[in-house]
Amino acid sequence: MRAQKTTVRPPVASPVQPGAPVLVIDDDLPGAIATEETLTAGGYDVEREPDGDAALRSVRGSLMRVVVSELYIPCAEGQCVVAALKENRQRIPRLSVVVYTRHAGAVDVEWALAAGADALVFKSARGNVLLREVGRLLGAVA
Amino acid sequence: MTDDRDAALVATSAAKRPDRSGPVDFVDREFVHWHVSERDARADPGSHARSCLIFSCLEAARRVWDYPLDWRTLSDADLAALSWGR
Repeated sequence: MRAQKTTVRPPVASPVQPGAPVLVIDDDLPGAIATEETLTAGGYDVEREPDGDAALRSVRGSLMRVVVSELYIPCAEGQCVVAALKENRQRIPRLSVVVYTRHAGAVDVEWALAAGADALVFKSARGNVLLREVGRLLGAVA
Repeated sequence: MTDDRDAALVATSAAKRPDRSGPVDFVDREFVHWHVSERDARADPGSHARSCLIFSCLEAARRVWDYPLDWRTLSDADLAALSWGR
């Protein structure tokens, strides 16, 4: 019997849902504002929080689908807010987390993945790379 | 032009990859070089499965949970399409 070759459906671009909510977590204000501007230009409805605990409170009370977070943001519920968000699948089951960070070392990448991040984008990347990953996780490109 | 690119992607097929057990590298139609590896994700918070694929390039990395067992045999074009999944 011949093995069947796996075929993968190619991506089909579709418009982003207008005003899809995205939460930005960054304790660096200029960086947070720049991220907000990028996402707003991409058609998203952006909220900002400067720390992990405020972010967790904000996410739990909302219909947030995507969080864009710096990597080393502490919170009371864990060493890293990314891990705290991803460990809460029961309470926030459809939440995706994009780590958007200036830390681009191999150790930082492993930290982000071990925390459960769905995607990682370096701040040195072009703005459309962040929009591409957020769109992927929202199903704008499926 | 696009047809030429697609033809080039097909030509860089899985059959030309020397290692069928480790990570895989490919170049997508935007000429981005991707490195694909399988990750044991059992300890990762929010894990959906025992393992996932990590697609990484110079600017980003993405985690994909749904992938076929024979992912290493996929063409570059199919790997690129797979990377858009979740």
